[in-house]
Amino acid sequence: MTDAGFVIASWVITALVLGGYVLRIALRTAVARGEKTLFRPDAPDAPKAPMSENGVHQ
Amino acid sequence: MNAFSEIKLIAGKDLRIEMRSRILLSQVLPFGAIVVLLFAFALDPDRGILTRVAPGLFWITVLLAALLAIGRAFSIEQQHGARDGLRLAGLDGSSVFIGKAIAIAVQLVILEAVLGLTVVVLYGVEVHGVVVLVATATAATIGLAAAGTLYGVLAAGLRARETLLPLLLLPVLAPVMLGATRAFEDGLEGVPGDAWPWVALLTVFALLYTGVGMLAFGPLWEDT
Amino acid sequence: MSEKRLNNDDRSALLPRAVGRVVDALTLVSIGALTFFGLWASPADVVQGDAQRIMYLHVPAAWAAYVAFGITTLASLLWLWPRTRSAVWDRVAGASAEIGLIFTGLTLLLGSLWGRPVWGVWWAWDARLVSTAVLFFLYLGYLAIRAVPAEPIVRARRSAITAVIVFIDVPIVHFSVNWWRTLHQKATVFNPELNPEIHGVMALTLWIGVVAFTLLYVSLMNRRYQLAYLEEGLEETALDAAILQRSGGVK
Repeated sequence: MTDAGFVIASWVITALVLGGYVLRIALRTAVARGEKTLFRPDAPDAPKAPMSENGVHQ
Repeated sequence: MNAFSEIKLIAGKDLRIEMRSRILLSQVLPFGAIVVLLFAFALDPDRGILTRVAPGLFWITVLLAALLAIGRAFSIEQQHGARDGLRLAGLDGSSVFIGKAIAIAVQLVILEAVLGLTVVVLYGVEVHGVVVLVATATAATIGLAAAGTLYGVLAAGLRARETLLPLLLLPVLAPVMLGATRAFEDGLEGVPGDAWPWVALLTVFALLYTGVGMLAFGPLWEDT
Repeated sequence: MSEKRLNNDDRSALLPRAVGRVVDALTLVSIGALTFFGLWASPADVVQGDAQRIMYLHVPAAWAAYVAFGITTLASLLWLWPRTRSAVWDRVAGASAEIGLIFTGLTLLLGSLWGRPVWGVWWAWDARLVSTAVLFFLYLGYLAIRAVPAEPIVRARRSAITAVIVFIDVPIVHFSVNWWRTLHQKATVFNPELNPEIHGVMALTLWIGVVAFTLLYVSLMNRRYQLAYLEEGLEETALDAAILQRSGGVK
């Protein structure tokens, strides 16, 4: 790989790592806010996952 | 109860438990010996590599065996309500720290002596610079015991302690590994005088972690 | 319920929303500027060629990592000091350590990507790289301790003490590794130029990088702190729900 290739690879990898991290935080934040759920409980009378009726407001 | 007798109490208890169970002798030492043997499988014994890298291999083995000894020092507290008993006894945190560290240090010295002999015999090492070697081992052992006791209590009682302790402790001990190996190299094959700066580094490490341990052990112990 | 939190002066976010948005915008702008200068406006190095441009990412990343771990230590001390103790510091410490770990990993990766074209090897036992590697594992351990479930105060105390004792090791590691590798340098053939004298546009670009990564750190901290706050709230809610369910209480 040419030197320029390494340079581009560095920028790309940096973008992926940092961008990926930002996305990860965003996803976990959305889950924590109850905007998304990670799973659905099977049984109908199982306790609702606290996340889905989470009343934590900003 | 004054600090000195508290320390004697804890160190004595730990050593007595070890004398009765002989875990160090029957399990940890053989582990170390096997590691020494395995290194010979990994590195060609016929080309003098082993002799040259003997200091490093010795200290790595000591480090790994120390992990077992430290884990053991705290797992004995998990049994028979020993933890609560100790806490109710109202002993000072720093005394318990020193007591446990002393017990660990004694076990490490025994380990180092036996493993050292094993390495000398198996790797064909010629021993010179004994003063330097002993000074290095003393400083390194104190540092090992102090840092080990501190991180041992941190990991104690946690469910993942067997995997947490190595993860926590080994990076912290990198300077000990460095200093002890370099000093041993200088003592055995190089100019023994060169080793003294490394011994100084090891001493600083030992003092630092003894001090920090005396302060931090109490609160960490309460939380286990 | 709120007794479980240390309620001195709790906040759900580090920065006011407007400030946060400004920081985010500035971050993006400065990263853009860094890319422009780093990839185009600054000249290639005389000795290292284009590969030197990787330094415009590697050095700022290392800087950001040190800032992050410094903040973790500071926040941990503030937590340990009774008069300033607050859940805010615990969250800051944890968030900063995680971000620091990411930057440290990035520093190592970028160092490797730089080393290959310049030194011909993917890794060299240079003092700085080795120290950074040890740093990586030290804070990995810190985060592992943080991940152990426990009562919030117990976990906060355990983490804070861990952060301080880990931090104490950092100068010793630096010093011993540096010493080790300098002694060894008598034998090395090449002289790695990690800190050549740089002037003009190149120095400017490096500074832009430092500014960009610092802003990025703040931006990430803001988000990560908020996440920590939300997840703490979830832990409590989940705990309360579980208690309620087991005690067959009124919903």
